[in-house]
This record gives sequence, structure tokens and C-alpha cells, in this order.
Amino acid sequence: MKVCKTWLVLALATGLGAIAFGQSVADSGVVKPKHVLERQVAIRGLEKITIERAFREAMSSGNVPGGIVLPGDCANEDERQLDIASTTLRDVLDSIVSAAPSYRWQYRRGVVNLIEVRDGTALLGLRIKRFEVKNAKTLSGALNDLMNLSEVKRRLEEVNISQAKQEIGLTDLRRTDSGMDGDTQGFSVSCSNVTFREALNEIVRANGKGAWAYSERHCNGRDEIRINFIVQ
Amino acid sequence: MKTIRLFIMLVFFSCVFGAIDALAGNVYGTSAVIYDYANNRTRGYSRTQVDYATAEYYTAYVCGELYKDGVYQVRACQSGIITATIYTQYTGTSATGSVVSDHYVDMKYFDEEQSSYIDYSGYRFLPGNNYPIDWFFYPAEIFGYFPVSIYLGSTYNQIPTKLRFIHTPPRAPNGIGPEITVTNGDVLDTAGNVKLSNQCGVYRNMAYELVDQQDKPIVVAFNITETFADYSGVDSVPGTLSQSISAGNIVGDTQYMGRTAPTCLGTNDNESFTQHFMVTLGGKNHNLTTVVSILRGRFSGTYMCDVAITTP
Repeated sequence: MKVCKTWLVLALATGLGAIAFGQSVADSGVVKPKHVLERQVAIRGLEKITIERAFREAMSSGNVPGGIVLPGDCANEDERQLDIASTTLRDVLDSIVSAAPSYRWQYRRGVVNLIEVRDGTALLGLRIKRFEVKNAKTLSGALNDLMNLSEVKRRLEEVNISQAKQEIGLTDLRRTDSGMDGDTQGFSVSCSNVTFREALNEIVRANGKGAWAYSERHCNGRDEIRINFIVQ
Repeated sequence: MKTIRLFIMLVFFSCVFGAIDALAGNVYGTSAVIYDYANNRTRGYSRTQVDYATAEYYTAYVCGELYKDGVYQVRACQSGIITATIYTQYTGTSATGSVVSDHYVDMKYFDEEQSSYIDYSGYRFLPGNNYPIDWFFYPAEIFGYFPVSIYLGSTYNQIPTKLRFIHTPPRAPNGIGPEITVTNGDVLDTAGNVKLSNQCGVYRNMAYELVDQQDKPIVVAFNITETFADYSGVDSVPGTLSQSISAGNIVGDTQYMGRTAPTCLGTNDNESFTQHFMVTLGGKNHNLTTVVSILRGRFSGTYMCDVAITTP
């Protein structure tokens, strides 16, 4: 005589399935998202790190839009030791400012800025009458439009400073035969009566991620501003 | 003799679980490495899971083997009903951990001399047996048991190791596109998006695929950071940039040297450097072996943008 175990298996499976289903419901429960500044970020090599790298890694791992104003030193930036109490974005920013008191950080409408206090900017405080970008596909493309505004060009001429070559960087490319981003959703920016820095913030805010880095350098007989997206 | 038709069981499963798949004969193998920074431990995670129908006749069994920077550390095994899971670990988190999981199912079949239990999941048939037309099967009970451990295969955790060119026409056929010179035009990236406008210079598009230690593509989301070294040229070494890559996507790159029109490069404005990469995945940084050598700009008046992977 053969005894079929199938119903026993079904009963067991039903029970386990119910448990598993219950677990998945518990896992997908509504959880209030943490404030951006309380997000965990990953930074490696705390014993020896530049401020620019610490900020880049924090923005990248925390997936937080932001921007940094770097000093215009001609030499490479010094590496510093950060003493971080925890790995929340807020603590990382606090530790950066503690290690480099010439910086201050601010958070406004979802965007974090780390600013070198003594920086005398030729462009960041410039008032922009109106800045509009429709369906931009890349951060660089939006910055391109910003740099082509007449008041920006005029200001650069006034202060006799040029824009250094913009680094294009890597891109997130679809794995298709064409790799084309034809149906990728772009982002739009529309703002008026803002400073140049606020316009940069609007770009990364609209994109949902990314971090710009701005510096003015007067090195080797050249007067240049550099604006790159160090996180894209 | 009591018989049950398999399809009835499948229908019943479908009713109970709705959208949950109830496939007979599937076994799922998992390998992962977890860096526990708080406790300074690197843990290997190995799991073999059979589906519910398979579990009636098979016991899951898994062995996990943990490596530290490629050097063997520990191996351990575990069996279980439906799921077998084993953790392995070593102290420290700075090295790169890798785990290889060997997945087994332990099968028990019976033999009553006249007929034999049919392995309906297809792992192994008894000699001379095939699926019966009406898919009857006979659960094992009182007749002779013959335990057999069937090795199904191995899985491993993927470690980001290198980039390789991937065919992405029209802008990067075979991974690397044509050299494009612009006098007052747009610089497009590999996807065809405008990156810079009103440019005078030269550029080239590339497409890379991230692969693991066994040259298999990595299709989860990751962050990639490019750094530059060995710079020689009229400008300055490019800055470090990071890019997030979505799950399933590949890495595009555009190497451009030029100026905003109407200014163009001088007759011998050029530069050369090497490009290096670091991938952040699961909170762990991995330096890729890949080194790309780049030569771009204007050489005795001729525009040129050469890109070559010099170290795979």
C-alpha cells in the first residue's frame, strides 16, 4: 500500500506560504522616509580624505542632490582626517566643517551645499532674471543652457574670466542594441530672479540627484571658473 | 494504489497563492557576501531553496566556501527542508570577500522491483524510466529508500572586476565609436544626448560593460567613479567624477577635448592620460583592473582622439 503524502505537503506548503505572505506584507508596510540629512552615507578612507571626495562620496552614496564650492587654490587640495560620530549625512557634513572650518554647509529644499566661506565668487552670486530648461536629458545639457544665458556671458566678460573645459564624465546607458535614450524621461527647470548658485541647485533638484562642484582658479596665468558635475 | 495527478496539485497551488509561482522542479541558489562593519566581520551567505512541490521528495543541501582576497578561509554545509542556509565568516572587512556555494538536493526514491518512483522534477531518472504519459507519480513511503545527493551546480557572489567594450551602435559599435571633429557644434554622449554645445574640438564615444571575476556581466545598480593619472598636456588633469548606473544598464563615456567656439584648439593643444575606475557596490569599493589610455587634442594641426584599453 502506498500512502500519498501530497495533501500533507499541500497543507504544509499552505501554512508556510501564509507565513511567507505575512512576512512580505510586514516588509512592505508603510515606513515614514527618513529626512535627507538622516540618511546613511558611505565614506571610505576617513583617515585621509579630501573635502571634495568626502562630499562627493556622501552625495553619491546618499543619493542626495547637492553642490560644493571649492577653494581656488592652485595646489592640490589637502587631505584631512574626519572624525565622524555616525554615518548620517548630517554628521558627515558636521565633521567636514569641523575638520575644515573655512567651510559651512546648508540644506535648502532638498539640496545640500558645502561652501568655502572665503571664496570670492565671480559668478555664484550673479542674479539670473529667468532660467528655463525643458526636458533636459543630462545635467551637462542643462548647465550648457545656463552658461549660454546672456547675463552669464556678460558677467564672465566683465570679470575677465573664462570657463574651463567641462568634464563630460560617464553616463548611465541603456543596455540595448542602440543604447539610445529616446524615451528616457528628461527633467525641466523653470525659475526666475535666482542667483547662479540657486540655478545650479535647481538643476540637480529637478534631476533628483547629482552634485555640482564650482571653483575659480587664477593659476599659471589663467583665470578660469570650473563647473563640473562630480556626481551624476 | 493511490495516485494523484500533478496538474491538480498545480491548480491548487495557483488558487492558494495567487501571483506566487508554484513551479515544480525549480531550485534556487543564492550566494552573497555581507560586510558587517559594526562587528568587523565579513560573512558569506549560501542558500539552496527548492520549491514546495520539489520539497516532498528532496531535501535542500548547501555548502558555502568563503575566500578572503581569493584565499580560502572556511567551508561549511547545511541541509534543510525547503531551504538550506549556511553562513561562513572571517574577521575583518577591508579585504574583498567572495563565496562559492555548492547546491545539492538530497533525493530519496523507492524501488518496489516492479515499478519505481518517477523523478518528476527531472533531476534524475531511474534507469529505463521516463515521464509517464498521464504524469502519475508515486510518493515514497514504505519501500526501499535510496538516498542520492545530486549536485546541481554552484553559484558565487559577483565581484566587480573590469570593464569591457560592448557593442552599442550607432555611437559605439563594438564599444568604441568613430572619432568626431566639430568646429562649432554639439558634443553628443553615447546615448546621443547633447552634452556640450558650440564646441570646437574632437571627441569619441565609448560603451563599457561591467563584468565580474568570471567575465559575466553585472546587472545590478552600482556607482562608478573615474580617476585620472599620468597626465601630460596643455590643460590640467581631469577631475574625479562619479556616476550611478541603473540596474541592467551599461557605462557610457565620452572623451572630448576642445574649446567653446569661436575659440578652437591651438595647433598642438593636446593631452594624454590614463583613466582608472572604482565601483561601489553594496557599500564596498572595488578598484577595477581596467586602465584606459587616452590621447586627445590637436597634433601638428591634426585632430585626434585615441582611446584604448591597455589593461583589461
